[in-house]
Amino acid sequence: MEFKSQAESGLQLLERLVARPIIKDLTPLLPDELTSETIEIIGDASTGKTLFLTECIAKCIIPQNACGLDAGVVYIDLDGQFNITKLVKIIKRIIKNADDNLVKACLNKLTMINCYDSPTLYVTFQRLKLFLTEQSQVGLVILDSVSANYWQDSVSGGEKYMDTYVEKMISSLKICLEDFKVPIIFTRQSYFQSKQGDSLLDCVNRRILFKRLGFDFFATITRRNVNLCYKFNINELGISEFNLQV
Amino acid sequence: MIRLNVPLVPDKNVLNNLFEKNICTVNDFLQKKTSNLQSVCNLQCKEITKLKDTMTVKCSSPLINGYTLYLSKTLSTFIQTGILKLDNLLNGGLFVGNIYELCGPSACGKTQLCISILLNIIITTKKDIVYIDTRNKFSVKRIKQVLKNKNMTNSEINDILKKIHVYSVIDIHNLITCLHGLKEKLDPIIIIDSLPALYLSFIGFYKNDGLCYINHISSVLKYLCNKNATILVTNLAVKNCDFTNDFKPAIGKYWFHIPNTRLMITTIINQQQQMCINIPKSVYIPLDNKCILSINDYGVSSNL
Repeated sequence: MEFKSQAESGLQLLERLVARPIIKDLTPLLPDELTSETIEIIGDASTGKTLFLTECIAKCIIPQNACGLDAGVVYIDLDGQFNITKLVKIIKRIIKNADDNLVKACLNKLTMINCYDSPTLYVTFQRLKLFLTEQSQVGLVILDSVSANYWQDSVSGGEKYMDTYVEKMISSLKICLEDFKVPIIFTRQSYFQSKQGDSLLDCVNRRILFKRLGFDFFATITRRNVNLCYKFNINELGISEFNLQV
Repeated sequence: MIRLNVPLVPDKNVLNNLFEKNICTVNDFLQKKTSNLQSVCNLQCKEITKLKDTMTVKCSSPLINGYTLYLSKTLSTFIQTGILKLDNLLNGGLFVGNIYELCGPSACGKTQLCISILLNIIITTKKDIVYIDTRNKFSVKRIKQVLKNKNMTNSEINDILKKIHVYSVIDIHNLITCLHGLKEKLDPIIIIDSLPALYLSFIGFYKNDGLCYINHISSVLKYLCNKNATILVTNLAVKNCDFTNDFKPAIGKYWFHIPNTRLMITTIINQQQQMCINIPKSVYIPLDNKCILSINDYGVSSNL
């Protein structure tokens, strides 16, 4: 009989022993478990990307007895489009007659990071490693959006090829988070692609493509070359009625 | 780039050693293995790890708790533009911490709308307003005319004029310096008229220098918004070169993602003194609503 000895770092041991919330059934678009996956969201402006993320945050931070996931979220906001009052509105829609204490308990699980340039962003990724070690309830990391500082970076000697730029940024985030196995969701604008190919980037497990045609919104999920298209509505209360299109 | 310096690395000799090995920025330092840094710095493993941790905490963006953020945002609400139809269109007025873009062809009334909004805000709230003028077109005469028609006395007019801080900028570098200078202001209201005037000089060059500067400006604007600034930017609309003759904004795709709300202004044919406003982009307003305003001696108003 052979025994293999496996070495693991202290951090990995800690991660194995500490129970981190599992992100499952986040939205109808992502019904299964998302452990250590990377999800890319692509879309033009005003197609509901940030709103979709807000819905995801709401689902995560709401306690389990109110159909939430009771998980902490880290939201890295590079675009400045996130609106906290919108989030509170959505929480109040999901939990009928939520009182201030409940809203407070929910919002305490959200950590916002505003970042205005890429060098700081890369240091912030390292910071997340420290933060997630301390905070075991964090279950999801969101980056909105990768392309925010591209033009500054490309002129000052950074990566010029857009797809590679995205890959570099996401993989350095992944390296910092790999021991924690938390899923990463990031957005990018639809013009921000090197070529209009259908293939996913190497670092991405699933892609959701948002589109708007008149008053109808569509989301196409690509995973392992399988496409599913959903139609949804946006109204004052948020996103509603995901319908699978055949 | 965040350069390594003395408070970050406590010892000057260690710093020089690092520079010799071409480790000049915080990111360089953090990406090197601790074992390699040990020999370069002549420090123990424990000290390097500690150095790395303090550096990470000091040089990263602050982590903000969601609830703290919510409390800071609920206090401030919105500023009314004083133009009833526009306020209705905007669901109440200009939300604090948002960037609004006024986009329209030349001579459609962008500057007039800016001036009217500016005066209305000063009259109702007595707040100071920063007006960044990129074309040397700011007209005190027109303001005086509008105020006189509202039956204001000279001293009232003087008080209002004192509240307007006009910055004349001549190029994009000036604008960036000017915006950085506004970082210390408390809840500023900033009007930039107009952004393309500075950007258009970069069009046609091989490199994307212009976009780099626009990117920088957007970063500063986002920073200001986070500090509860309200920003109004005008953008020119130019005609498409194809057959459609549709208008499109002079600063294109990249900029489109920056403002929270874009107000598209069009002139109504045969009605020169009127403008039509609709919303092609917004985070919170239902899209494609419309309103019609008129321009007259009293500025821009809802009365047709």
